[in-house]
Amino acid sequence: MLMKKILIIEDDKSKIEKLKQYLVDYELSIKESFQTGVLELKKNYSSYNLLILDMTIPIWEKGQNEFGNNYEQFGGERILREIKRRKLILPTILFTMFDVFPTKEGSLTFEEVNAIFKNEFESFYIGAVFYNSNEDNWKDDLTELIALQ
Amino acid sequence: MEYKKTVRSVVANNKWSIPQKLNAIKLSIPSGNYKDAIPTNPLLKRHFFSTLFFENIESIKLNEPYQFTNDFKKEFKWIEFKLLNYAEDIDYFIDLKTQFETKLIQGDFNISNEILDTIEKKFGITLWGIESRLTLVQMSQGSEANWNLLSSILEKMNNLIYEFIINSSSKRVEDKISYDSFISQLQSDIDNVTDRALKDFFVFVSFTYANFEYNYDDLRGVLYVSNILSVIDQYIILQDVLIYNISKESTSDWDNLFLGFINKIERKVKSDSRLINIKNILDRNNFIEHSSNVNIIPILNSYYQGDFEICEKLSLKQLELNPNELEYYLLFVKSLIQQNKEFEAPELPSTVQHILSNIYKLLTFEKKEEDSVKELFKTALLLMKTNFGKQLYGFLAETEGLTGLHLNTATLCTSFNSAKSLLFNDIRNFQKDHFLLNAEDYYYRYHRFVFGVSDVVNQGLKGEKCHVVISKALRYYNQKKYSEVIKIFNDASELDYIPYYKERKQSLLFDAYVNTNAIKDCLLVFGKVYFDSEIIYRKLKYSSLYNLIDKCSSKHEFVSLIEYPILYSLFAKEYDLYEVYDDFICSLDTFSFSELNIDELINKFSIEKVVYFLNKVTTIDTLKYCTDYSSLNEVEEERLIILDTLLKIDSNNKLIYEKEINEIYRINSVRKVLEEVDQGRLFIDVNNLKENQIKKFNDAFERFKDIEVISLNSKSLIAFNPSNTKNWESALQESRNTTKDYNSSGYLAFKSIYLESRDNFLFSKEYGLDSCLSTRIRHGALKNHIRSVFEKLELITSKSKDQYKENLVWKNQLPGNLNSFVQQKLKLFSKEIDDYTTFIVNNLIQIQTEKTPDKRDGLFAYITNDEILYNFYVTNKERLTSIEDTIEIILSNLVNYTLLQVQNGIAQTFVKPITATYQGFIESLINALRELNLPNDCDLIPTLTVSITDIQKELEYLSDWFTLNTTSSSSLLKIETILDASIELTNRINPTFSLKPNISIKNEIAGYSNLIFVFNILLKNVIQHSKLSNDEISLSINVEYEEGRELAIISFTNNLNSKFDFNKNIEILENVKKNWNDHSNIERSNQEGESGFDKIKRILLYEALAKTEFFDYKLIENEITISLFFPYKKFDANEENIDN
Repeated sequence: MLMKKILIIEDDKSKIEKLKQYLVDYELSIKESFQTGVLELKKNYSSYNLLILDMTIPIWEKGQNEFGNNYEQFGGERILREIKRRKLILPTILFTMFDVFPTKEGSLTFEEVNAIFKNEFESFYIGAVFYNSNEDNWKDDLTELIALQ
Repeated sequence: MEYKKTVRSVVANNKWSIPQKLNAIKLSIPSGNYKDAIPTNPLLKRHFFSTLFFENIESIKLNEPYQFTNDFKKEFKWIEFKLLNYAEDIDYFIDLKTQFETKLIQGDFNISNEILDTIEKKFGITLWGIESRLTLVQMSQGSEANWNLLSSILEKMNNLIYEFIINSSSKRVEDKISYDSFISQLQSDIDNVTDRALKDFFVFVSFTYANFEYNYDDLRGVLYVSNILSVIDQYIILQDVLIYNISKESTSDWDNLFLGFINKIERKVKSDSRLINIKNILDRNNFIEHSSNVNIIPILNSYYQGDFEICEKLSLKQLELNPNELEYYLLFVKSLIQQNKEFEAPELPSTVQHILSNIYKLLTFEKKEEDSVKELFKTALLLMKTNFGKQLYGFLAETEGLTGLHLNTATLCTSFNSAKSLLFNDIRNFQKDHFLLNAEDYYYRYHRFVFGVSDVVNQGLKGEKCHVVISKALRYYNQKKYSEVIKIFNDASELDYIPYYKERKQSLLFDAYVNTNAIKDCLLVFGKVYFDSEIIYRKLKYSSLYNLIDKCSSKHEFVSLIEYPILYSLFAKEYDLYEVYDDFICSLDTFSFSELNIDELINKFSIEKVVYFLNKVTTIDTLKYCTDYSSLNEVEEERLIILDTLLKIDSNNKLIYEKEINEIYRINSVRKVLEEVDQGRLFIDVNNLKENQIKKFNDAFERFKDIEVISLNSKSLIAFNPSNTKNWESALQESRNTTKDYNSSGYLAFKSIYLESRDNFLFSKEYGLDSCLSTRIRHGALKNHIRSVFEKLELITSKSKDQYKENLVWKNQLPGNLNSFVQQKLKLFSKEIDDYTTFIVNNLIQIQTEKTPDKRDGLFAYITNDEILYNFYVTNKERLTSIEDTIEIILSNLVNYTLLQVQNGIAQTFVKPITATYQGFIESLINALRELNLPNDCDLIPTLTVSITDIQKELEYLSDWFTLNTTSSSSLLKIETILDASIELTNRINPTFSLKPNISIKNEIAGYSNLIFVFNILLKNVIQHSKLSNDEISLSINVEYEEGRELAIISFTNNLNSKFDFNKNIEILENVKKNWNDHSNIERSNQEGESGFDKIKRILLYEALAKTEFFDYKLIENEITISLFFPYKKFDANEENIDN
């Protein structure tokens, strides 16, 4: 089956722009926060073929919390947990600019995070793509992972 | 015999001094040969055994520690050899030490002092002696005497290592410093010690009980450093290190090494009772009985046989004679509890009474007596250098459910053969055989049974039923038969009536459930004990249940228990807690909080649990993940409803809930004010502008109208168009007719009005756009907002003498060779960010007209030309009937142009090219750093990656500042809210500062949000001009009303750095005061870098309409006060406001 509809949970405008330019053959729906992302999944997860998910995302959309910390460093992981817990099963690709993720217990590399997610969310997590605005490798990596579906 | 060759060559080396030769021997020969090698040369031997004797504090020197071998055995043997030579002296010392400790607890301070004098005379000044004298002085005369003694010692002392320990000792024994406070002070003291061995030494000697991750986990570093001290101190430290290694039970690798030493010294140092215990633990073939057993074992027998009355009497008698043995205290107290007797202080020394009383309170496990534990910890700290102190600490650890290190240490420090030696049986399994020797004593039989190493207690278990039940349960527990433990307790409800037994029952039951993975039952026990209002359960480690649940894949069995989210709230927060909360409410068939029926919940669980759940689980931080709410405001509203419910069902804690309600309202108000401020940053008072222009242009308009009338009646009047001089070239290309139209007098008269009106709109010192840009955007705000993105992430530094400072955060994460290169890059990065931000402020956030060629990059472009203007004139000509209409049309045109074109252009510039420029700086730095292969634990690249999105968000947020507002804020705000918002805003853009002023409001007054800009300037002055760091700034803000003059006075008072000269600042303030009512130079407020007070003056005068003739400042010593005075009218008792 051809991939038709992709949900993107991402708040970085330049990454969104690049994804839009690259994924022209798909119908894209963009959500820019944890809240709107989860809500969309709860309502319409079955209408999508794929989720492209950023790791660090705000909890609320712009204007809904302009005070205090609005960022979830591992918001992407929280969404994966919501998908698993609520059984909103949708094939998911992590799309991130981070090659290292600092945590309280020490840093995790991109590969380590990918391995942890594959293990924790094996029924729907496909893999991770490292995004670097200066290079185009991410396009090949993304295409390769999409093709796995 | 290889070592002999080495020794010979070392001795023969004439270039080496004696210490160098000893050093070479320490390093190069096997430790077992030290005892043979050193005596072979008389000079070496004499030097090795020459112990330093310090007659007084001034003469204290350090012994030679030689080189650190980083080999435990070598360090141990090196000291062992030394100590064996002084065994008799050590024996005498330990005898005196024990006498001293006894007299100390008995409160016989004169004799204690005499014993210390004797020790000093015989062994000179020792570290132990100084510490003991501090303890004695503290106990006999109090803290002041302690401080005086410390001061007199430090005055004479000239040795940093001694000074560190002694200073720490003085704090340790001081009664005003609590146990927790001592630990945090020590932690801060050792943070600065970089040498690994020395750090270990300081921690171990200052706080032997520390659960510290030592750099050398077997304490070889401590042994090494102890070489510098007297032989007496070396013996004390070596024994403590040995006991530490045996007690922590991670290995028995050094057992033979230790046993060899004990065998050699035990015969000579008879006075050290610990040697017998250590030998019994290490030696499988021999077992030595303490002579003091004869006193204590019969009493222990009586207790375990249930003869509590006898036990009480006998133990009391022994407490008089031997207050150094904790077991007597426990026997006495437990006998009272078993007999259900209240505690009445027996006639014993006050220290003994104090300890007995606290132990009694602790063992009744009553919540109201919680302070007794703190007191006992402090006593254990005070007496840390004594065997009693170590026993007490071990007992406290046991009551908290901790076995291992401290309990084992306590067992080794007893003066009798404690049955708790069976605790060592796991690693040294011959312990159980030792106690067969005492088969006659019920005490030992009982413990063999309970520890599970024998099957029966001869003649059966004795004592009360509760005692028997607990004993059996303990036995099963020690045998890891957890289901048997559970079975026993299920039939033992009688234990619930006596706190002493109830605590033990629930603690064992909880652990048994954890060990059998019975999560649901365990959660129920947790619920019972956590909400038990009378008993405190110290042994329970809720974390073990939490960890069990965290690993459990199927939670359906217990998900509907309210204890589940309650337990999680102790360890998890935010999303982790939300997940559990959500699972719980879904299990109740409710899918949002509002569907929950609180009364039903209370009926199903209990009011205490529901109150806790509402208070600690359903917090804003939990609920914010729930998709039922579409904004933080909605979550806050929900929380307010929850708090309202809590006020109804838990009125005892009304104050706590009201405080949270007020805090939510406060944050909400501040947020609204800040939103209002951001939305209204670009404010032009169009109404006032209109009013002024109508008056101003009335004559010009009449002239315009006259010209129009004449032009209609005769040939058109032609005049000189001043724009032609500039547009000559283009004018030549335009048709003559058009040029002629542009030169028509009617158009030119209108043009003159339009251009003047526009310039007024843009540059009026009172109401113009440029003033607003200057005071609200260019004046630090924009630059600080952008800079704060990078400052928060510690990616840029500030300048010192025109050079960017080193970035210490990353310096600490990088090796030296990489650091200098990275620092260079970071300095360049700081410069790029600052330069570009300055460019935005100085060049982009500027107004561009055809008259301002130096502002050609200005984003506020209001350039017009005849073509545009003439079209505008022709289009609107018919409507230009009155001056009011004309000004209205012109100003509306300018406002609409600003709203539609300028604003949109600026937003696009911020979101696109400006964002791209900053991201370009970040990405090129990331690429350069990637090539350097930074260490894995360095977070610099991920942090830079975070800044890519952060700067994008910040610029998007900043682009909203450029929305033009033409009406001022109308909501009246409490002065407290305005101040809070101003502080929040200042702290947000100065991430390295966090101002927390002390705000005192004597009279409630109100004002409008534009005062925030005034306060921001004053707060910025505090940060910039006080020359103090964040921690040093002390700021207070006072608000009061002066009835006579009808003034509200708001004063900012802050301290100043006394090392700086503030004369220049005073000169400026004096000028501000002198010229406060001179408004002629107010346009200076539009120039950056000029005094903030001109800007304050302008805001008060034209925006807040709240300027009075008063301004004042006051400098007293190093404290400055700036006072602003506002017109203030009291309308009536309920309606008051600053008159703006």
